[in-house]
Amino acid sequence: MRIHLVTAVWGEAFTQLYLSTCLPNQMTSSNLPALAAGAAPVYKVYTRSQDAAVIAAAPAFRQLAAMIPTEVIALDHLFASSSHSDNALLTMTACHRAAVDAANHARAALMILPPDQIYSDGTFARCLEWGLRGCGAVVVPGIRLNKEGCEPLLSGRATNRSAVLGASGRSLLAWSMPRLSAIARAMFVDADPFSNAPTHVYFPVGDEGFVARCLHLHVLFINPRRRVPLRYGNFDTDYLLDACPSLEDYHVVGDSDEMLAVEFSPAGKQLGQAGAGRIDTRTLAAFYRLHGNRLHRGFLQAPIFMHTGDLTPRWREVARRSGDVVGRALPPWSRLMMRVRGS
Amino acid sequence: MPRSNLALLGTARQDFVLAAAAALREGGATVTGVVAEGRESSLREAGIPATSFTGRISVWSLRLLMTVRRLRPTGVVVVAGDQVAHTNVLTALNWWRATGLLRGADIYLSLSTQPAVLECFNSSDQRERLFAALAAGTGAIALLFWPSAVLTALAAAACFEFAARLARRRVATPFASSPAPVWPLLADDPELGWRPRPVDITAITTTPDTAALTRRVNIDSAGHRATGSPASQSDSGPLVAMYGGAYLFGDALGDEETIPARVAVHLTRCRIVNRGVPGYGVAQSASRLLMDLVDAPPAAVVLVLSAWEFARRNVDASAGRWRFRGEHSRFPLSDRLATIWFVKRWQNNRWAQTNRRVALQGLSDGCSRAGIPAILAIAGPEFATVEQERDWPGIRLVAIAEGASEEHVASLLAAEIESAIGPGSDRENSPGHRRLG
Repeated sequence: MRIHLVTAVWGEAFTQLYLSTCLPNQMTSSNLPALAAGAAPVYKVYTRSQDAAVIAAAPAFRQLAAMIPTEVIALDHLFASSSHSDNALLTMTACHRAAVDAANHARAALMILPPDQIYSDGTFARCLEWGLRGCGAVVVPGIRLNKEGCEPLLSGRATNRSAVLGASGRSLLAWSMPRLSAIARAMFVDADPFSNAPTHVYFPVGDEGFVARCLHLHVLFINPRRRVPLRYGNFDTDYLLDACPSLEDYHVVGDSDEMLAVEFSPAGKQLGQAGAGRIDTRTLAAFYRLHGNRLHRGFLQAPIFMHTGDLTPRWREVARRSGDVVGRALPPWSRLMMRVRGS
Repeated sequence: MPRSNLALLGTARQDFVLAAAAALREGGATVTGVVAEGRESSLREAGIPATSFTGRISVWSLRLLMTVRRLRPTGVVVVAGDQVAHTNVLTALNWWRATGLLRGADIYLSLSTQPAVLECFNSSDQRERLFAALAAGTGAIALLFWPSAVLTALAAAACFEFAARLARRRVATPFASSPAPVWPLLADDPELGWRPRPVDITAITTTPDTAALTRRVNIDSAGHRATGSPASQSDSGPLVAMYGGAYLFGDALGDEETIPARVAVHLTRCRIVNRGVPGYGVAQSASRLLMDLVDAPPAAVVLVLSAWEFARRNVDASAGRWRFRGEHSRFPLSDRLATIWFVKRWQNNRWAQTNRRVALQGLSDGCSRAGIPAILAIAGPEFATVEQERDWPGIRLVAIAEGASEEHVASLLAAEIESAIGPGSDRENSPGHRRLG
């Protein structure tokens, strides 16, 4: 199976974070090496010229280049306009568009790896397994951590650095829980104020973790059913409707033991945490209507267990309650589908 | 020009709308802003005529439709800024287009990363839905009057469909695929299916145990791929334009490794331009050549074709146009109904064959009329077919041996160009000096 691993990164801070932390994390034993053993991966970094030189010369990247084929692609025309710094989302989408074109040309599957995201060990091997089984896409929630709170890890001062970068799902989640960002904390169902960009809703289960219901999930792996270009919208919104139109094509990772993705968000990043009071079903419904398509609403049907211990009946109870809360914010058809699927 | 009169639907952030308007005007288009009420003043301050609308855009926004119709645009451009969810806008526009309410105006996207590059977004979904609704409606009415005949016809259609599904499994994957280039350098276009966009790409490629390889892909705003350093080429020499698909463009090659770049090394007194476009078939390349022949004729034209390009269809016969690269209908009848898939396939094949003949005939006639030497270089067995098809007055046919290196092809073409334009040709290349009537 041909797989293109894609990262879009530019700017000193992100390039540094990617090279010092995220790339070493991807190179742990059951991630990239496992993928290299079972598939034909090509690692593609989309960036601009000045960062391309830094990336190509970095020791971690050279180690990667010795393992699998790599391409560092500078798309300087995207950075020619002064507005790009103002417009990181669209620039990133333009990079993803380039990646989709290249994957379509090579008839390859795609793994999209944000430059600020790390994974539990075994995540890549598991994606490959799903890909070989014929799955169209593997989607996971990206849990946001407070970047400043993770400073010892990111700067290389943490003594348990290699343990964290190669941790299993449970260990990584246990390390992450005290470091959740304000954006993520505002998404807990009992938060006050509750997020006004509730792409995820988290239902706590004591100190053991939480059940997540997610409208937007990170598309970690996709083997497009239809080889179409990414024309507009983000990689994880409209493109999904074109590339893998059926909900049956998706594997929603429902257990953090299987895979876990966490990402680092600076404390200054604003994404709905200012909120406006406690959770409100009508506001939630309006958000889902405006920001979700039928696939996104389908993702909400699956409870996602983020746990640091074993699952007990209590988790099932919280999952049922989470289905009730989110179901009330969904249109009748989606609610019915949720009941039919028994979640 | 499809861009001559554009209605700019400014649903994105105001600075992105202003940047798009400025970039499009710079490209020679007449632009009128259509923005939400209260946002028109800043456009007017920038010297851009503007009109306004109210409310969220949907297919029922009839006031917006009337506003756009009054402008009689040849294209409606939707500006995408940093927020990129414009499904409602594009869906509404495509419904209006499918029902003829937009008077045939094309729909484009302008992304703020490259605001001057317009990407066509004419979707076929709505047309197909209308067709399906019409067929279902007619069937329902007919059922009231001739129930047994309709039921028999339905049963026959179901049998056909069942057989077609079985047959399709043997010949194709269930979903049609679009041509995709190695690099992100194409934008959909209503005239030719897709065109190159300006890019500046540098790729450092490595494989374990080999040295890093650096390749550059540069395309200018006119859609020409770079053919080497400017110093090595004559600025005032005769312009030789080279056309073709991925083979001529040099899909997997760096700028200086392509056939046109190597020809430029041989013919330093000429200005060689690479107008190849990845994914083009024979008729698309010939059509682009003929368009340029009318707009700004060069001193000589060269069309280089590979066997692969003869096999390309790239047409949507039912819509009577080139297929878009991003033909990604979400309601593709041909994906859902195998009978329609076969009918379309047959239709497209016929249309493509006719297109190829008509395009090569047009090329021959156009170049003869304009007195422009044309060279048609064909790689592989298709050369014999084309040679035997008929006489091609005004065209020099050149056979390229299968597996010939780029350098060999370049030296062959350079010699042919040299002999076609003559050693002391004074054909100047100022744009438009030899317009066709």
